[in-house]
Amino acid sequence: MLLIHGTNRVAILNTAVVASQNAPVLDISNLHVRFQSADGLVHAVKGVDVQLHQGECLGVVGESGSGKSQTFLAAMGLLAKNGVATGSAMLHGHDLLTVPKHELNTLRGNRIAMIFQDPLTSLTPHLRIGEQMSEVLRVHQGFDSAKAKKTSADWLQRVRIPEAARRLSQYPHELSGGMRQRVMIAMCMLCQPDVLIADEPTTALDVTIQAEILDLMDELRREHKTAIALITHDMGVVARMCDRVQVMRYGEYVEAGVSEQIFYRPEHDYTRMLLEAVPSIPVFDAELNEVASDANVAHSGRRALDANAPVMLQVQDLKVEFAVPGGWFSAPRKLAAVNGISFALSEGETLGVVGESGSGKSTLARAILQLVPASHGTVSWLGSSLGQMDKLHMTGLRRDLQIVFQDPLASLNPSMSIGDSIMEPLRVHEPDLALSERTGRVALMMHRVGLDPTLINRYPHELSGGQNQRVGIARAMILKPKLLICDEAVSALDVSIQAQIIDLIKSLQEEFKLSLIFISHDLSVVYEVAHRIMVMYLGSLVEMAPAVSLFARPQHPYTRQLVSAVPVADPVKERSRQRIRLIGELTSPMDPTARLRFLPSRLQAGEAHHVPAIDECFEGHFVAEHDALESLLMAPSRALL
Amino acid sequence: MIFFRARKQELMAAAIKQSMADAGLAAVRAQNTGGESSENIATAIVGRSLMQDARRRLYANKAAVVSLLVLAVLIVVAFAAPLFIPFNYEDPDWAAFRAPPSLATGHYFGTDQNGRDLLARTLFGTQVSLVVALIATLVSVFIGVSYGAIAGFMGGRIDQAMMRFVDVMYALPYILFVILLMVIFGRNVFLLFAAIGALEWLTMARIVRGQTLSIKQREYIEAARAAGVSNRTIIFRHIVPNLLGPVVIYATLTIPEIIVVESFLSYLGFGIQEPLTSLGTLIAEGADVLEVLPWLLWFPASFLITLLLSLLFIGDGLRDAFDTRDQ
Amino acid sequence: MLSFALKRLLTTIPVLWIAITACFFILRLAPGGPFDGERPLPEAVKRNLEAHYNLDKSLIEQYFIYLGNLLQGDLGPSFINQDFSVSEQLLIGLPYTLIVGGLAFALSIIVGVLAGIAGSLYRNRLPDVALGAFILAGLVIPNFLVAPILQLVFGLQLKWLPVGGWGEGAVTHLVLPVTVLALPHVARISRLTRGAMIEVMHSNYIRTARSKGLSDMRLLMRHAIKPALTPVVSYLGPAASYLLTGSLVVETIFGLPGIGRYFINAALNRDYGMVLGTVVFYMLLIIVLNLIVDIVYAWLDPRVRH
Repeated sequence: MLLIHGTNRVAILNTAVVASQNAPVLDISNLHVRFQSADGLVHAVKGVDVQLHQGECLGVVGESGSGKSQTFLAAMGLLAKNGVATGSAMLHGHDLLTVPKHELNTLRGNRIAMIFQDPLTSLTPHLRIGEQMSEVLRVHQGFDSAKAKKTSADWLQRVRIPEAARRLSQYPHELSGGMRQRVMIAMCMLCQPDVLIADEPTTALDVTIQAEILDLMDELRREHKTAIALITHDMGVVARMCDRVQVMRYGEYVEAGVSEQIFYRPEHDYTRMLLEAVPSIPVFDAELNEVASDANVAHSGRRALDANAPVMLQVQDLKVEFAVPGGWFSAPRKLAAVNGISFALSEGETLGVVGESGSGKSTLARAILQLVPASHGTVSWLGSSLGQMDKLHMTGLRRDLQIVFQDPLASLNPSMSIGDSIMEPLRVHEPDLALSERTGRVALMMHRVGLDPTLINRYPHELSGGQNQRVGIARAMILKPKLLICDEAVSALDVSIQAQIIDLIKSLQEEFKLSLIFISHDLSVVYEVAHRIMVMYLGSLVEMAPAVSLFARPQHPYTRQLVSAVPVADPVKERSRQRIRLIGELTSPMDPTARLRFLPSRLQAGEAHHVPAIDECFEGHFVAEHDALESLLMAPSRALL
Repeated sequence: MIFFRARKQELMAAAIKQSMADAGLAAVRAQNTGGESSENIATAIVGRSLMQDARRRLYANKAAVVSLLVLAVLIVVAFAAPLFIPFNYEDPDWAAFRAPPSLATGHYFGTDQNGRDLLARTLFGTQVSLVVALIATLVSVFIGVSYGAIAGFMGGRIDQAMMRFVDVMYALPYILFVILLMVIFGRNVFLLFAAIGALEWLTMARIVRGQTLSIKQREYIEAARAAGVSNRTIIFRHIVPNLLGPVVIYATLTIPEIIVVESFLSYLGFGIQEPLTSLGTLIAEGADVLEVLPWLLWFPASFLITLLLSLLFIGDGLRDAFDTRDQ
Repeated sequence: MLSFALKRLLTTIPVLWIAITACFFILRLAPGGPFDGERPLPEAVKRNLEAHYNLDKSLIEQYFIYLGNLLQGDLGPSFINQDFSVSEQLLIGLPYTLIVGGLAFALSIIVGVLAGIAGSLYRNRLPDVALGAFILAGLVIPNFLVAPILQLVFGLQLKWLPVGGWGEGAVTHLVLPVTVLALPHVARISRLTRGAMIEVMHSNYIRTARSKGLSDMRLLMRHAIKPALTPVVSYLGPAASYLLTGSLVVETIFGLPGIGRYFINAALNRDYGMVLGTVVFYMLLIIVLNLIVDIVYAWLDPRVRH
C-alpha cells in the first residue's frame, strides 16, 4: 500500500502488476524542497513520497512549475545553490540527501543516472563523445582507457547509433538532437544503474525520434531490470511507457496508482481535467482501405463544413527557396524550404499542416502572408494573386490575413503595453478612429478572448504564457480577419492552457466564419481542430486528406510512420499498436535526392530529378507517389508488450 | 511625460467602461470579478513597463544611487565652483608658489610651481575631461549605432564583412593612430574629441549589431509586418525602443573609458596643452614632483578616480537593472 | 585547422593594407615637409635629401616604393636619427619591449584566471569580495597614476626596488614595470573569468557532469575551465594591443629603452618616418598575436572551426 502525502492524502490500493513484494530500489519519503528567492521562500516540493521498484517504469506527470523535476534533481543532489531539500531519499541504504559528497559521487552516474530534457546543451561541447562516456567508466569502474572505449562503443551500438566507433571521436555539435539524446542514454547506462531518471527526455525531439527513444528506454528497462522514473507532461508518453503514474500539482501528488487506474478511473479532478485536456488521435482497429462511409469520415466532433462554402485561398505550386551561403569562394546553394505546395481553403474551413522540424511548414505560412517572397507559384486570395499586388493594395488586404505565433512572449514587443500591441493593427487600418473608440474595441476584443480588460496597460512580462497567447490572438482578431494562420500557436503552452486556447480559436472561427490554417508538429492537436490535414516532409506535400480519412487509412509510408509514432493517451490501445519504422534518417533538405527518400526505385533507376506525382486515391484524399511500404521498412516491426 | 501617461490611462479607463457598458458587459464583468465594481478599472490598470521596472531596480542599487549623487555633485562643483573662488586656472598668485593646501591662504588645494591655484586648475581640468568625454562619447555612439544598425539590418555577407572589419580593428592599437593624428595635425582639442570618438565605437557597434539582429528575428516584428505596419513605424516603434537600453548602458560605460584615454594622451603630452589643462595633464605634472609637492598629484588623482568610479557603478547598475535574464 | 588559420590570415591582410595605406597618406597630408625646420636648409641640400628619400617622386610612386620596401622588411628611413633606419632602431628596442610585455602578458593570464576561478568558487564570500575591490581598483586607476605611486612607495620610501632603468635586465628592475603593465589586465581577465565560470557552472552540461558522479576537481578541470576560458582568450587580442599602448607609458616612466619610448620620442620630435614605421610594425605584431589567439580559440571551442 502506498501512502500519498498531500491535501487529500489519497490512499491507493496497489496490489496488481507492480513488483511490490521486494523492497524499492529508490525510496523517497517526505521530501520537501524550498528555494530562497528574492521574493522570499518558495516551497517547490511539499512532502512527497516516491517508491521505485526494480524493472518498473513510474510516470511522474504534471504541468510546468509542479515541482516534478525538482523532486528528482533533489534526489540527485543537483538542486540549484539556493535550494534546500529535507526528508530522505534512500538508495542501497544510503540517504542521498545526507551522504557526504564523495559518497554521493560513487552513487550517481553509477547506481542512479539521469537523462535531461535538452539534448543540445546537456553534453559538454568541447569534449569528444568518447571522452565523456569513458570518464564514467574510469571513475566508477576503474576501467583503463582501452576497455572504457570498447564498452562505450558497445553501448553506442546498443542504442542504435550507426558507426559507433567513429562517433566516439566526434564532438556533440556534430550529432543531431536525437543522436545526442541516445548518447545521453548510452552514457547513463554504462554502469547499468538500478535507477534511471528521465526528465522530459523526448520533449525537444520530433515525434518519430521520440518513438525510437521511448522504445529504446523500454527495451533497456526490460533487459536490464532498470527502474525508470519518467518525468513528463505528455499523457501519451505515460500511456505507452509507465506501469504506475503519480500526478503532481503545486509540489504535491494529487493522485497515484497503476496506469490503467489513472487513465480509466481517475479519482482526482485535476487528473480528470488533465486527461480531458489531452488531445488525441483516433485509433482504428484495422485499416479501412475500402471507401469509408461519409458519416465515418465526417465524424470527429468538429463543426461540419458547408459544402457550398466559397474558396477563399488558393495556393498553386508554391516554392520558397533560400540561398545558403557556401564558402567564401563558392556560390551560394539553394535550399527549397517549400517545394511545390498546392491547396485550396474554403470559408470556415480548417486546414491542419503537420510535419517535423525542417518540413517547411512555418515557411509556408510566411509565404502565404507574403512575409517571405515566393520563388515560384501563386497565392491567390479571393481570386486575386497576392504576389503581383502593389504594396498599397497588399497592406489593405492584410486586414483579412492574420497570424498567431508560437512563442507568446517573443511575439509581443516587450516595450509596448499589451493594449498598444492589440491596438496596432487598428492604427494601420483604421487610422481615423479616436483613441477612446480604439480603446473600446481593444477592451471588447480582450474580453472576447478571455482577458480581463483591466490588463490593458500591462506589459507582456507581467502576464503568463497563456495570457500572452490570448493577447496574440486578440491582436490577430481585432480587425475581424477572414484568414487566420496559427503557427504552432499552442505548442509552448501547458496541456490545460492548450485546451483552453484551442477552444477559443474554435469558437472564434465559428463566430467570424474564419478560414484557419493550423500548423503544428503535434498530430493530436491538429486532429482536434482540422477538417483536412496536410502532411509535409522536407518542403513537399506527401499526403493531404480529410482528418478522419488520414488516420483511418493513411497511404504514404511517411504518414504511416508519423501516425504510428504519436503516443495515444490510452494504455491498452497504445501498447497494442504497431510501430512503423522506416529505413534511413531524416535527410538534409540540401540533398537534391531528399524528396525521393520514399521512392528509392526511381533513384536506383537514375531518375534523380523525378518529382513525385500527387494522386487522388479516395475522394479528397491526395497522396504523393511512393514505393510500397514493405520495401521501406527498417525491420519487422515489433508489437510492444 | 508622467502626467501624459496618467492622462492617457484615465482616458482609456473611461473608454473601456463606456464600451463595456455599450456591450452590456459591465454586469458580466462585475460577476466575473466577484462583484468588484467597474469603478476599480481606473485604479487597476496601471502596468509597469520594462523601463519603469529597470528604474526601480536601479534605485534599489545603493552603489548606483550614491554614484549618481556623487557624479551630480561633481558636475555641479566643476562648473559652478570656479565662479566663487578668487583664483583662475592660469594666473599665478605671486604670493604663493608651491604652497601646500591651506585654509588660511585660500588655496585649499595648494598651488603649483608657478603659483597657480590647484583647486581652480583641478576644477577646470575636470570640466575639460567631462566635455571631451561627452563629445567623444556622442561621436562614438553616433558612429557605433549607425554602423552596428546597418550591419544588423543588412545581415548576410555585408554583415559578416563589416563585423570582421570590426574584429580586426579591435586588435589594432588605436591610441597610436590618435597619436599619429596629433603629431601630424598639431594638438587640436577638437580633433582630439573627434579622433577618440571615431576610434572608440567598436564595442558599441558590436552591441547594437547583436541587438538589431536578434530583434529583427523576433516574432513581434513579423507580427507587425503581418498587420501591415510600415517599415518606418516598425523601426521607430518596435526596433529603436528596444535598442535604447543597451545603447544607454554602453554609452555610460564608454564615458569613463574616454576620460582615461584623454588623460593618457594628455599625460604623454599629446592631448590637452598649456595653458588649457585636464586631469591627465595635471596628474602628469603632479607625478613628476610627487615626492616634494605630493598634493599636486593627490587632488587631481582623487577627482579622476571618483569620477571614474561613479561612472563605473552607474554603468554596472544600469546593466544589472536592464538585465532581464535573472528574473 | 591549417585552413582555418590561413583563412583568418587572408581576412586580416586587406585590413592591414587599408591601415597602412591610411597611415601613409595621412602622413603625407601633414602640413609642411619633414625638412622644413626652424632653420631653412640650403636649397641644394634639401633637394638632395628629398631625392634620397624619394620625396621628389609622385605620391603614388612613393606609395608603391614604400609598400615594396615594406614587403622586404624595410620600414623606411628615420627623418631625425639619420644614422639608423626605422627597422634598425626598432630591432634595438624590440627585446626590451617584448620581455616586459611578454612577462606582463603571462602574469595577467595566470593571475587573472586563477583569481577569477577563486572568485567564482567563493562567490560572494570574503575572497570574492576582496577580489572585487581589487578588480575595481585595477579598472579605475590608470597605469600612469599607479606607476608613480609604486615608485614612491617601493622605490623612494621603502627602497626595496629601483625606481627605473633597465639594470641589465635584473629581476628587481623588472618587478615594477611588469606589475604596472599587468595590473589592469589582471583585473579585466579575472572579471571575465569569474563571470564566465559562474555562467558555465550553471549550464546544463555541468549538471550532466555532476549527475555522472564526477568529483568537483574533475568537473572543474575537464568540463568547466575550457569553456570558461573562451571569453578570456577572445580578450587576449585586444589585451595585446592594450599592453603595447601601456608600454608607451611604462617605458617612459621607468626609463626603459624599448620601442615604446622610441615611439614617444619620435612623436614628440615629429619624426614622421619613425612614427609611421613604428605604427606599421605594431600592427604587424598585433596581427600575428591575434592570429595565434584565434587559433587557440578554435582549439578551445571545436564549434568555431566549422
